[in-house]
Amino acid sequence: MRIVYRMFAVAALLLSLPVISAAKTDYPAEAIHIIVPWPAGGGTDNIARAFAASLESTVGANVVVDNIVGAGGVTGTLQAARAKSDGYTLLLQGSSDISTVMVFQTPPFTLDDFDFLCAFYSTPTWIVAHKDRGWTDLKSFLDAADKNPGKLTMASATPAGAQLLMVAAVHGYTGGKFRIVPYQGGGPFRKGMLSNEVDAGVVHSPVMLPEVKEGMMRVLAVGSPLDKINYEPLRGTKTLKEMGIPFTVGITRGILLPKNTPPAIRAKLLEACKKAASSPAFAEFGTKFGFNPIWMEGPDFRGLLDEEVKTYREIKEKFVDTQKP
Amino acid sequence: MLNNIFMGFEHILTWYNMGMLLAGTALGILVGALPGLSSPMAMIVLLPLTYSFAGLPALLMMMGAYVGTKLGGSYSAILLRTPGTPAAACTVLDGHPMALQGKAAQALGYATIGSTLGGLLGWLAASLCIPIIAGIAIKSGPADIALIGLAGLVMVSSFVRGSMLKGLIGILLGLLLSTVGLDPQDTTPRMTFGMEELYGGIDFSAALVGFFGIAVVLSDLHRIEEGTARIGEKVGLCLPSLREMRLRWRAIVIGAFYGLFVGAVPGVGAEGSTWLAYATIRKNSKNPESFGTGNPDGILAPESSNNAVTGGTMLPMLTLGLPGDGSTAIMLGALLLHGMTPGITLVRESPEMVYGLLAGLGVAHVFMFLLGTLAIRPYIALLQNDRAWIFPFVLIMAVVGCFAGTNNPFPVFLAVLFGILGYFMESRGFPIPTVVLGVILGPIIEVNLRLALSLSNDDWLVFTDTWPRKIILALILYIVCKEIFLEVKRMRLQPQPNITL
Repeated sequence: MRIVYRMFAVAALLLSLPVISAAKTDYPAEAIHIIVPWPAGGGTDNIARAFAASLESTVGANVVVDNIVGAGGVTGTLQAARAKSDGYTLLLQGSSDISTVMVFQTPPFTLDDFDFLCAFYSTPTWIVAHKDRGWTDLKSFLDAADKNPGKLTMASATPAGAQLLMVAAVHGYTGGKFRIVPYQGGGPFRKGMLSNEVDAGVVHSPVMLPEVKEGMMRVLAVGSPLDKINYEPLRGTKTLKEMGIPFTVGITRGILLPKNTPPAIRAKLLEACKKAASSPAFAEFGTKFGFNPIWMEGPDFRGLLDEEVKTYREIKEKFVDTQKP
Repeated sequence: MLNNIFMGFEHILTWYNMGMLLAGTALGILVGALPGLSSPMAMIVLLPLTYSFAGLPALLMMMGAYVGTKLGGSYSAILLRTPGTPAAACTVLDGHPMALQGKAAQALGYATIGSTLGGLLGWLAASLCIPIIAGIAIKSGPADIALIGLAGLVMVSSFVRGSMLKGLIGILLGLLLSTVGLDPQDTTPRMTFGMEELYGGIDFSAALVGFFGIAVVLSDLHRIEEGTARIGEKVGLCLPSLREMRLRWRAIVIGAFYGLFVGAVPGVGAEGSTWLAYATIRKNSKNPESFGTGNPDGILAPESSNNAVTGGTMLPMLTLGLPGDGSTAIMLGALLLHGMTPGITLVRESPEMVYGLLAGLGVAHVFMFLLGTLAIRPYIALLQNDRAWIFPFVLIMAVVGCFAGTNNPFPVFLAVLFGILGYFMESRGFPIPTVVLGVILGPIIEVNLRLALSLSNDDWLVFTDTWPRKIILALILYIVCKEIFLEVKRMRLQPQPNITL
C-alpha cells in the first residue's frame, strides 16, 4: 500500500511542476496558440503554419496552430475575441475575410474587440482566364461580352466574399454583359478553371500562379499592385484602378490579439513577429508560395481594415444587393 | 510510365522512409478504428510533427495514415455497428450482421482482403494510366457529378431492406439536414433558426457520430453484459481462401472501379463510391436478398472501393494540385510547407516526390495488409469484453471526434440530438444508413446541380448535353421505373398491404 501512496505523491509533484514553473518565469512560459478560423490545408492555414514555425524560434516558446472552423470564419474569430488577453491566444486572419464577414453578416464581434498587432503577408485578388479562351486582358474579355450579351461567365471563388465583390464591381462599374457564377471555395474553383468550363474567374493570388507560369492561364487584371510577387512578368499587370474601376481588393494576413492585452506582452510579441516575418525561413516559404512577406504594424493594419469595410459595404449596397430579387 | 514508378520505388526504399510509411499506416489503422476519429484528423495531428522531417518521409507518413484509416474504419463498422470513418459507413450493412452470426473474424478478413486488393488495383490503374484517368476526371463537369450523385441516391433507396417508404423518408430527412446552413450560391441562411453555429451547415462528423455511434449505443444498451464479438468455436484462418476469392473477384473489381473514378473526380470523396459499388454488386447478384444479412460481397465491394479511392485521389492531387477529399487537401498543404509547389508543375519540378508518393501508395497497402492481419485477433479479443466497458469508450471517442473536427463543442450537442433521433428512428424500423447517405450526397448534388445551371444560364438541357450524361440519366430513369413496376406487382400479389408504420 505504501508504494501506492508514494506513487500518488510523485504524481502530484509532477502535476504541480508546470504551475510552479509558470509562476516563476516571464512571458511566454507556455505554448502560444494561433487560432486559424479556416480548415487545415488552405491558403491562410499554410501561411499560419509557416509563420508559426518561424515565430517559435523568435518568441522562444512552442507555437501551436488551432484550426477552429465554421460559419465562414466567425466561429474561430469569435473564440479569439473571447479568449483571455494574456498573449497566449493569437488570431491569424485575413483582412478581406474579416471585412466581408462584417459586410455580409452581423457577427457577434466588432473590430474593436481586438488589438491589431501586425500584418506580414499581402496578396492581391486577381482575374484569371484559361489561355484557350483567348483573352489577353480584362478589356478583351469585356469586349467579347459586349458582342455576346449574357453568354460569357465570370466565376467568383466564393459565394460571399471579396472575390464576389470584385466580380460585382467589375460587372457594375463597366456595365459588363457577362453572368456571375459563384463557386464553393478554392478547390472547386480551380477545377472549374482548369477544365475551362468558365470564361474567367476571380480568386486571391497566388492561386493558379503555377498554371500562369506554365502559360496555361492568363491574368487579366488585379485588384491591387502585384509588386511583391516572385514572378517578374506579372509585376506590371494592370490594376482595376488603372482601368478606371475605382475598387481595390486583396487580402492582407496578420495577427490580432484579444482586446486589452498588456502592453509589455504586446511589445514582446510584436518584436518576435517582426523577426519571424523577416526570417530567412519565412522568406523561403514566401518564395515557394509566390509572394514576399511585407511588414505592417497594428494601427496601419486597423486603418486598412476600416477602409476595406467601408468600400466593401459600398460595393455590396451598390452592386450586390441590387442584383438579388 | 513504368520507369517513373521504378524511380519512385528507388527513392522510397530506404529503412527510414519505410519506417515512416509503416508508422503512418499503423497510426492510420488505429485512428480509423476509433469511432469519430477520421483520416483528415490523423493528418492534422501529423502535420506539425513532420515539419522537421524531409518532404518525402513526411508525406509518406501521411500517405500511410491515409491508407490505414480506410481499413481501420471497417473494424468498428463490423464489430460495433459504428463506422470508424465516413467511408466505412456502407460496410456496416453486411459486416455487422456477419459479426452477429459469430463470424466476426471472417468479416474482418473479408474487409482486410477487400481493402488490400481494391487498393492495389486502384493503385496499379492509377500508376499505369495517369494521363487518361486525370483527363476524364478533369472533364467531368458539375452536371456529371450531380447526375452521379443522384444515381447513387436512387440506387441505394432501391435496396433498402424492409419498407421502401421508410427508406425514402430516411433519405429525404438526410437531404433536409444537408440543406441547413448558408445557401451555397447566394448565402441566404437556411433553417438556421438564427443560430450562427448552424451557418456552416450540419457538421458531417456530427451526423455520422450521432446516427451511428450514439444511436447504436442507445439501441444496444439492452445487450450490455454481452461481448460485441461472438466468435464461433474456431477462429482459424481469418482470411478467405484463394478459391473463394476466385468466386468473388467481381465485387473487388467493381469496388475498385468506382473507387478509382469517384476518387479521381475532385470533390466527391470516398463516401459516395462505396454506396455505388455496393448497389451495383447487389443489383448484379443472383441473390440480392442475401445482402444486408452478411453477404461477403457486401463487405468486399465497399472496402475495395474505399481503398481504391486513394489511387484515384492521387491523380488530381499530384498532377493538378486539386484535392479529391479532406485528407488530400491537407497533404497538398503539407507539400507546400515542405517547399514544393502543388499544381501542374509538380511532376516536372519534383518527380521524385510524385513518383515516390505513388510508389509509397502501393507499399502502404502491403503494410496495411500485414498490420491488418496481425491486428484482427487482438482487436477482437479487446472487443470481446462486456459492452459495459466498450460503450463508454465509444461515447468518449465520439465526443472527441465531433469536437476535434472544428475545435468547437457545438457539433457534440448536434451529435447527441442525432443520436436520440436515430435511436427512435431505428426502433421504428427506419434504415439509418439512408439518412447518412442523404447527408453525404445532398451537398454534392445540390452544389453541382446549381453550379451546372448557373454555368448554363438555367438551361436544364445541360444534363443531356453529352453521351455520358444521357446514359446516367437513362440509368436513373430505368431504376426508378423498375422500382415502381416491382412495387405495383408486389401490391397486386398482396392485396392487403402490410401496414407496419
